[in-house]
Amino acid sequence: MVSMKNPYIPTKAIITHIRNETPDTKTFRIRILDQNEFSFTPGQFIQLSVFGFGEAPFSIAGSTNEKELEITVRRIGTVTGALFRKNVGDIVGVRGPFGKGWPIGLMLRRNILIIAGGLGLAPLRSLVHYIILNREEFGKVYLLYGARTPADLLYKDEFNTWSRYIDLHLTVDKGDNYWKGRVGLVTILLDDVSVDTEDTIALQCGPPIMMHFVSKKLKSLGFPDENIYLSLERLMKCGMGFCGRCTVSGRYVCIEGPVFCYADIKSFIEAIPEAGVEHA
Amino acid sequence: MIKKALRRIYKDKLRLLMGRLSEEYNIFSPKLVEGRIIFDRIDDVSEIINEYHTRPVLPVKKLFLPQRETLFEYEIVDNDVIISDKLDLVAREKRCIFGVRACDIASLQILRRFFSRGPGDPYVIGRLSNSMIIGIMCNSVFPSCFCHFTDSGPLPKDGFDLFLVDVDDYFIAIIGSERGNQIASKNEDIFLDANKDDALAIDNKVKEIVSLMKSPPVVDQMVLYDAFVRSFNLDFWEDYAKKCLSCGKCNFNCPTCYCFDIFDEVDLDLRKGRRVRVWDSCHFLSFTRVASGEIFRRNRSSRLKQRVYHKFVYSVNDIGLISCVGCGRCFEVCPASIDLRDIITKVLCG
Repeated sequence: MVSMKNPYIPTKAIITHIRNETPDTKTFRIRILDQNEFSFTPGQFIQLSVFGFGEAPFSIAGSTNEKELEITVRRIGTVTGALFRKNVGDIVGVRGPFGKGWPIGLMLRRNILIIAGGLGLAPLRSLVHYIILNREEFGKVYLLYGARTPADLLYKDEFNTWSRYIDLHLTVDKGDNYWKGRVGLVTILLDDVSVDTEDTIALQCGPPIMMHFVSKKLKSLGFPDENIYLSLERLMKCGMGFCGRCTVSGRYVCIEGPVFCYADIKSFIEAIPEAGVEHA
Repeated sequence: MIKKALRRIYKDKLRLLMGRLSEEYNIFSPKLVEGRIIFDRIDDVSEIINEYHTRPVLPVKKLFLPQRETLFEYEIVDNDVIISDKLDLVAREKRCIFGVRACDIASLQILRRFFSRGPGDPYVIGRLSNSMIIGIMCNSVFPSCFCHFTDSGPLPKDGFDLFLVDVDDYFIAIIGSERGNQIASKNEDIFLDANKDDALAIDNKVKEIVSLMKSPPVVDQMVLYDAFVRSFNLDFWEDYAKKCLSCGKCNFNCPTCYCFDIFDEVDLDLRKGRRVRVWDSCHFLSFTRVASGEIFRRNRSSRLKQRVYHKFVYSVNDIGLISCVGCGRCFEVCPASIDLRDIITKVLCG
């Protein structure tokens, strides 16, 4: 009677490459079988299945011009633990892409200030690659990136390339004997750059506490709420606005987000704990 | 006065009708199992119970969004995975759900609206499309009933094929759909013409049932919405949160709570398994926990408010309807006796 494509069924995909990023983080390159390309907007996410262990959402970390997709994963739970035991050639499942990505249309010809904390760089790496590929479309681009230690910095081997196109600034919470860069929270890097707050779009992704302080600092620098965007992390189970797990004051992060404009969600207490004014 | 077409069915003909329908449909009805009323598949029309004095254990929601269901099965063969979709089972079954009360009919309308969004949930929507609904009006009320307040009953506006109103030795059958109309025309020996007074009899019955309910005074739903929006930071939420046990019983007994979890279940041979979805509860800490360990609704009051605001505010934003049908099951089962009607009254008083 009903003939609907079943959106809960993942498409089979094969792991084609695995790269170690940090002691507990790897980047997996995945080719979707029977599909010649994978198109997405930077900032969107997929649901990845490891059969027998379940499904979990991951930001897409790869480039928009590649046929395969990449995700950067920290080993932290059941699905990620099982994924870490997988090898090149193994089969996984993919659903998606889901959600709304970074507001690229609004960013064209503007200056871009990207602020990332820890694994929050993953969905922003897609964007950095996009910006580099279309460099003339954007004004000045800054990337401020903070990690716990130098060993926790992701995508280190790409930093030299990135630096040729964008202004890259790094910091770590705790340095080591070889670290000569900045030490401290990512907010200190905002003191190192002078951005035109009127004509710059700020994009952030990181732990909620980071986004709380970064938002506060951006506000104090004079950024209008409308020019601040952030990506929220939630454990979406379906990705289609049904399971209810990702809602923030009734908004489905999986559909309306994960990228939100600060102006739209600043009043939602659940969006960024400690930042919101309680409001229905 | 009701505008829909009406017929009369004498009570001694009900089993005959259900017997004929059972040739084409799998019949689901309230039935007695170990002293309790449950909605379930029946094998014989003699099992049908159209009058009961204790609430069925779970709302009719469970027939459309089961407490647990397999979305697909998989088998790992060498280095490949064979996935077998379980959706075709849903699509093939023709069901007739008998004895659905107005509150449950209203809940199915809410689920239909919600699960039709985006790509649509083919399991829930498939079952809703394949199910004929024969409702029946309540002859009495439970102490927690307040469907009049939520405008969901005792007479449903839509969402049914046939709806029976008990009058003396016959039912007045309200024809609610083309499918219902066809059933009536195919069974003219059972569906007799209605009397001109039957519409009035329905009206009187509605008035009688409404008078028995302990509803808060009826207000416009936008007034209710605005009152909730204004009340988010009021102190009384903490008082309720102190009593709430976060047990999730209100979620599981609610005819409109639909949130779910999805996980994989593996057979002992480790090769075969299935992806399963089960009901989940926004009262559980695990509900908003993410990989990093962050929990976005750590305070009990934030979880209690999530459920209540979903019903009266977020649902209106999302699907244009409140998602409370006034059945009162949430406080009927609440071990802490948190009465939603008290919350509504407090909110309306500001």
